[in-house]
Amino acid sequence: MSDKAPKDQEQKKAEAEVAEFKHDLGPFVIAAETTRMAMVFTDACEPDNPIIFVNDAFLKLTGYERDEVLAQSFNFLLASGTDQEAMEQIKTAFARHTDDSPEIHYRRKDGSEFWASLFVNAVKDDDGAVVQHFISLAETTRTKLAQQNAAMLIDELNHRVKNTLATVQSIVAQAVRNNSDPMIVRESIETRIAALSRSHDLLARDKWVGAGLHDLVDQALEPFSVTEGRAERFTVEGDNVRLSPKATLALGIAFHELATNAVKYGAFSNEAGTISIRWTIESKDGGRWLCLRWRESDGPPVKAPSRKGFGSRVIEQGLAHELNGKVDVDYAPSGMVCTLKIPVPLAVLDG
Amino acid sequence: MLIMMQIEDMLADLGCTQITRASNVDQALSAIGNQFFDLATLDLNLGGTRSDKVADALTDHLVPFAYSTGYGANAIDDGHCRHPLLNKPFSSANFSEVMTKLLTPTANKPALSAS
Repeated sequence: MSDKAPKDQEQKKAEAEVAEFKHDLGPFVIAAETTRMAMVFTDACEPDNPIIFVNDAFLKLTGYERDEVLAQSFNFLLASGTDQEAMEQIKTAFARHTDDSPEIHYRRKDGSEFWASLFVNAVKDDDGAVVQHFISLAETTRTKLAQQNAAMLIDELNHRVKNTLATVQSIVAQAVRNNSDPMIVRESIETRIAALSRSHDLLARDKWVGAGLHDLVDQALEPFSVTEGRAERFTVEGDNVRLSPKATLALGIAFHELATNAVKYGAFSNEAGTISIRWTIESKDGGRWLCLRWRESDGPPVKAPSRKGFGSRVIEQGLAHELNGKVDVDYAPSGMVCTLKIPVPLAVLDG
Repeated sequence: MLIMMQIEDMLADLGCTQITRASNVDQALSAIGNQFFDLATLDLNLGGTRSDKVADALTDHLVPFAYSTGYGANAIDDGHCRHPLLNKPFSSANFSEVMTKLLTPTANKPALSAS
């Protein structure tokens, strides 16, 4: 705020007029002084609309003392003194007295900022000349912030939808590329979209901040364990470490592919096989790593696949790349073992 | 992850024989410093960081590139807005058209895909 302008005779006179109508209009003045809506009178006969009256609500809203604001230009509270657009809007509101209520960005004495809608009315003398302006300010900061937040969310939502559509497109392209039987194409598209959808559900539970690894494993394996009573053939051990959204989506697809592979060729393709999924956070090589092992046992003897399908590509290349980690798949005859080593800062939120 | 795999397939379909992936700015910068590329596709967001530095490095190394993004054209820095934009999700035909524009007719060198 600039130094307080010395009160000249005109300002004193204008303030005296206010004192006078305080006397004449007793109850209305009390109403203006006690309402929770911030109110200001300015002098229309002087340049820059100097302030000649403010109520307590205005002082509470702005953090100033009464003698700090009287005689100041009405625009002294602008958050940016060079906000041409705001100054133009205020000028128009003062000149035209329309029903418009410009929303203006202001700064309090303590430096904090707020938004307020201005309602400007002219006070005329007996000859119809404008002598004062009466301005009420309705604070709109919360609405303004909510609007800004909503705009940001819509942008982000749009971005995520586009990425999700591109992911679905990739799922479709991979299915068509790798299979010629339309029924298999359909099934692989449906199950992968369902897996993606389950990861989204899990992320939505916690506002897309992240998801727990144990929850993710449980959710990814749920469609495989409910059929044929396989639930007891899974062993899942590890803390519910918090994963980033990116890691949640990548691992969600990876677990789906591992389980699909187990049902087709691995431990779940017979009646006796079991799968153990264990993980720990380990400190070594100067960093911290999420080390996860998917180990299949008692399935039919394992042969390395002759052709790398979508699942192997996701796990051996995609996952390692996406999470900047190391992935090792061992097609041991006794059971397939997949080992993931993922750097903690990228994938784990608070590990 | 799946989007990257599809870009790789699309590049392979166009006859690209060597593809290098980068999932963050450091990996991309290091690849650009160590290899020659015919072209690149660049996501605006690499591992949570804006990829402007990678765009600068590709420009310095005279590597033609296209942006792939779900954020739309407005999100691209003024300095790089002349580069073609692949709006996610993009079709193979659209991808092929943009890559063909980037490629010089005689070149058959590797590509960089950063996303």
